Amino acid sequence: MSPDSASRALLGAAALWAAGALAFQAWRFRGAVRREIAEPRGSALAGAVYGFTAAMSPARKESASRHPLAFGAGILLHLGVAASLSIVFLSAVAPEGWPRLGAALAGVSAVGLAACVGLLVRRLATAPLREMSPPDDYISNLAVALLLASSLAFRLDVLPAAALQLLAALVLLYVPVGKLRHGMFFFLARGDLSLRLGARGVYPPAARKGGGRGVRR
Amino acid sequence: MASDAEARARALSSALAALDAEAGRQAAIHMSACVRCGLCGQSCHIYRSEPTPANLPASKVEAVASFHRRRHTFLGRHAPRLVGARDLGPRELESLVETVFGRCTGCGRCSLHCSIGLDVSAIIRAARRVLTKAGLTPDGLRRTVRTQIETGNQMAVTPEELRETAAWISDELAGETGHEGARVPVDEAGSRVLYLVNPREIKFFPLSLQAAAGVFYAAGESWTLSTRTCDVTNYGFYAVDDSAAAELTRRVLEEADRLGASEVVLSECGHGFRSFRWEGPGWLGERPRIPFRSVLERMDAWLAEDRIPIDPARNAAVTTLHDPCNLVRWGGISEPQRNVLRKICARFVEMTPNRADNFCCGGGGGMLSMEEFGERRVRSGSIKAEQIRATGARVVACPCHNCADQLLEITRVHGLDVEIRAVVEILYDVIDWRRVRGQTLRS
Amino acid sequence: MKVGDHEYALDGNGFLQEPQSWNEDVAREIARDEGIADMTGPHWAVVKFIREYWLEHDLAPPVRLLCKESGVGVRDMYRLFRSGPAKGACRVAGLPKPDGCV
Ligand code: SF4
Ligand code: SF4
Repeated sequence: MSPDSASRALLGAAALWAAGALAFQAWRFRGAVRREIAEPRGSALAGAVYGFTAAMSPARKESASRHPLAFGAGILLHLGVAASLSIVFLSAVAPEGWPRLGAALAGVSAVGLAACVGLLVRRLATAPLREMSPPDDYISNLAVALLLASSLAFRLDVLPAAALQLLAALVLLYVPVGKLRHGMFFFLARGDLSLRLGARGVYPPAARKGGGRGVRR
Repeated sequence: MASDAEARARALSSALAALDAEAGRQAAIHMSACVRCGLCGQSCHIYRSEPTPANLPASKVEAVASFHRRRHTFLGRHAPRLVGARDLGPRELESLVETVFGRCTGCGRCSLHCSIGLDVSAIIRAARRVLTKAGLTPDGLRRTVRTQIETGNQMAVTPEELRETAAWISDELAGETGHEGARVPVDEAGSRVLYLVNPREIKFFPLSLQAAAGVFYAAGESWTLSTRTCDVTNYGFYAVDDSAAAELTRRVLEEADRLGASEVVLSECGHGFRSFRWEGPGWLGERPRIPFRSVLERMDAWLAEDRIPIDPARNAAVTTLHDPCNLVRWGGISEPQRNVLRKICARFVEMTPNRADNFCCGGGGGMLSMEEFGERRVRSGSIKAEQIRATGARVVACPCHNCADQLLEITRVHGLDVEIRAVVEILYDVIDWRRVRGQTLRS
Repeated sequence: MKVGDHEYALDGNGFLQEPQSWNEDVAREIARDEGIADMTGPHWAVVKFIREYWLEHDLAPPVRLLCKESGVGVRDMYRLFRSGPAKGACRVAGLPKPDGCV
């Protein structure tokens, strides 16, 4: 086996591990997200649609509106991760293809890397956050930084594809066991809450009447 | 001393068993989802009024999740330090009591604003369930649950006391309205509606019961109180004592059956509405045969059908509205009370924020029954007090008797000159009794 | 809370820690905290009945009896004690806080 196909195989195995382990964890909760037994007042589905769209906008979410910097960095970080994963994927399946796309993805990864470092600094500099953070928080941050940096380095031709794939595989190994598993639990948690609030007629909110709603104090 | 240590060991082992039982349940999803971004503090009235790290919603999540992680995740089992997993021991149990009973009312506001959108209160409730199974529920709360199970209501009001109060209030009502037929019926089989009240309406605050009786009469509704089950509250819900909560729900359904009622109407009560309307079917594992409705929904419908003659000009006071978390954010009832108030208040102003985005008054989660956290409770009410002050209102309509007590206290402490009133009392005051037809429709 | 030379402990809800230590001066002081500048005859009638009832039954009296025995009308009761008979009057009467939603 050539080094290239070996690293590709390892990458594939790590991806399977991450996906499989996350799927297994989700499966363990198969009975937990229950339909409301009570007669609904609203639509669970409409609640979920609202929960994953407008409810997440800064106009409705204080974690975003009160913390524009951290929120913005979070968005950029997640976009960067998507871009990096695409770079890794392309490196394995189409090493020669789409140079322009690759350059764009590298740009997004670079911005994501900056955001990632920024969030690390924020965690270290904010006392209550620092006190609350176990090593997992830093490992997760650094693992993502590693992914972002190595895909960027690959695009800048300072890292060979095989090395990128090995590093990415390493990060993927950690995904299901540490905080990064929120990539799956985000959907379960927000989904569960939104479905429930939908059935109860809380999500989506009633038409804006009488003013006042959503205005910050 | 040996027996003391034994008792503690027993508490710990039941707590661990109860914690393990949560592993595959709803709350564990939410425990596994927090990313400790720490952006939730400003959304919580408790943190805002007392910004110590332990009051951050994220810290409360972590205080519970760390024990779960230790026993039910791979790294938690094999490298606990790495992921901040902790062993649940006697000392940890003690501080957990304060965290989940004394630092969180389960109001849910932080969840709507959380980056992830995880249900913090589901986690807190799971931990309360664990502590209740271990026998560590705070005393005041535990006593109230027991009183409710043993006497049928949270204030041990006896059937004679209920009957005599009903007779007394009937006299007052007839005197005020000039309608002899207006009264408080008790144990009347064949009534269409079984009405549940907060026992404090019988024992300490009968004006809201009188008002409800007047409104039922004016609307021509057939209704009754019951001496067996008069209580709209459910302290089993606060303690997360599921079997007590289920038992209290079941008794009301049985009584409605016995009386032949086809609807249970709930007096203004946040957690009572949430318990009967939403959680009850879960506790019982089935949908009840007859509907549970808030008296707010009933009043809204009657006014929409013009069944109650009113003269809103009598009410000129600037009025605002408090949104009880369990009624609005967890119960979905935000518009009926507004429809009613817009019809009966010449000057109605909203608080900001409002509806599902309201701030908790600080008295939720059974906080009023736990003396040990009284100071924090009152302090956390400062957020609501400032909201009220900003409206300039003289009357705060409060569709929950539990919140009403907290509002009475915090407006006194914060020097606000406002009246706290149930919606039904405000409606009662504007009924035009000369135009009330005054016959009671029987089912 | 300091009354005269004595220090009286209040619990987290502002109720007298040791209900036995109650006296009229303590009542006046708690009343002031309730926003009652002057304890009038009707105030005392209500408070004293609560106190006696509690000493006998170990319970706060229902408002029905309270109105009957003190001669105060039900609507007037909430003018005398803005926090109502439970948290207002019982507190002035030096009772422990009644259980439940009060
Ligand atoms: S906002 Fe949500 S995810 Fe972030 S720390 Fe708070 S509870 Fe956790
Ligand atoms: S549920 Fe309410 S009280 Fe509890 S942490 Fe969230 S905002 Fe604070």
